[in-house]
Amino acid sequence: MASLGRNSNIAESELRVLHQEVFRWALYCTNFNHDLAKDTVQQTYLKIVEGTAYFGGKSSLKTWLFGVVRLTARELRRGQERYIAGATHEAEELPDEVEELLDETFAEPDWESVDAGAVERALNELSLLQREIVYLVFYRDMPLSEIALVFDVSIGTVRKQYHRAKVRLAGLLKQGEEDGKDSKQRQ
Amino acid sequence: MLQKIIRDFYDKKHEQVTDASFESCFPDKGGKVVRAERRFVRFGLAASVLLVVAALLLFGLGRDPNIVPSALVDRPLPVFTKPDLFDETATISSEQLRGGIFLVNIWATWCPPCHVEHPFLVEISASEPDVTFVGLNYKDDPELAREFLKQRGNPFRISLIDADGSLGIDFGVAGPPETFLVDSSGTIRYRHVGVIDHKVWAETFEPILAQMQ
Repeated sequence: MASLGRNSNIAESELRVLHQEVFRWALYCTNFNHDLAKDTVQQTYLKIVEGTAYFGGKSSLKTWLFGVVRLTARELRRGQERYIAGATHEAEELPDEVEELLDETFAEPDWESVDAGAVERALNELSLLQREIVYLVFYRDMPLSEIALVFDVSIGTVRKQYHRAKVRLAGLLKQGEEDGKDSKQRQ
Repeated sequence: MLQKIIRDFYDKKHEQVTDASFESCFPDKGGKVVRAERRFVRFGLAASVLLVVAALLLFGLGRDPNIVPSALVDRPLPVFTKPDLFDETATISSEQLRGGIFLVNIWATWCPPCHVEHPFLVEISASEPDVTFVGLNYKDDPELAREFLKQRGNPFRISLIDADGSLGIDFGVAGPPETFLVDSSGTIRYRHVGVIDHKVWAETFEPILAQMQ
C-alpha cells in the first residue's frame, strides 16, 4: 500500500470508494477525454501521495478531491487545449437587466421534444463555471455549499450562477425549439 | 424536468467513455509507473526528433552545397551513344571516353550559370592539355548551342547532343551546369553541381586531378 505521508488522515480505501466518482468528474473536466482524465486522476493521486495537495478536513474528502481534480485538469489542459475543443468556451456574462428580462420571459420548452444536440448547444452557451455547477448539481447531486468549496468561491456566487444557468438553459432550449419550428415552416 | 434532461445527456456522454480502474491511476500500483513510462516515451520521442534534426543541421552546415553525392561516383560512366554537336550524322559513344581523363560538363544556352561558367572553361581547358573536356549540350537547340560556342569560344574537344535529356537522367543531373571527372578506366571520380570558377578549380578539381594523374 502506498504511504499517504502528509495526508495520513486519508485511507487508501476511501480513495478507492470514491474513485469512480472522481474519475467521472475528471472526465467532465477534460471534456470526456479519457487519456487526459486518466492523467488528471493519476496526477491528483500523486499530489496526495507526495503531499503537494493537503486534505485539511475542512470539507468532505469527496468535495476536496473534486477541487483538486478540477485544478489539476486545468493545469494539464493549459498545454493540451487541442484535446478539449469547446471545453474552454466561455460564454459572455449577460448584464443583470438582461438576465432579469430572461427570467421574466421564461417559458418552459416542450421538454419531451428536447434532444441531446439542443442540450449540448445550450450548455455551450453557459459560462464554464455555470456548466460545472449544472453538472455537479444535476448529475452529481452535490449541494451548493459543497460546490462552493470545490470552486473555492462563496455560496452566494454559486447560488446566483446556478439560478442564472437554470434560467438560461430553459430559455435557450425554448428558443431552440421555436427556431426549429420556424425553419420547418419555411421548408 | 431540466434535471432529467441534463442527467440523460451526461449519462450518454459517460457511456461513450470507459472508466479507468483505481489500480491504473494510483501510484505504486501501476499508476506512477504507467505515467513515468508515458512521460519517458514522450520525452524520448521528442529528444530523438530534436537530436536527428540537430545532427542533420550540423551535418548540412559543414558541407559544401555544391558537392552533391552521386550514385554514379566511383561507378562506370553510363553507356551511351549520342550525336556529335558539330556533325549530327556522326555519333559519339561512351566507349570513346576511355584511356584518358575526361571532364564532362553538362551545359545549355538557356542556363544563365552556364554563361557565367563558360569563360572559365575556355580558359582552363587551354591550360589542361591532359584533360579532355567533353560538353554535353542538355535539352537545348543544337543550332543555338553551335552559335554560342562559335561566338564565345569552345572549350570542348568532344561535344554531344542530349536533346531529350535522357543521358542527363543517366548522369542523375539535377540541373546544369554539372561537371563530372572521369578517370582513364571510364570510372566517374567526382561530381560537381554548379558553376566552376578559379577557386573551385584550385580547391577541388586540381587535387582530384592530381590523384587521378
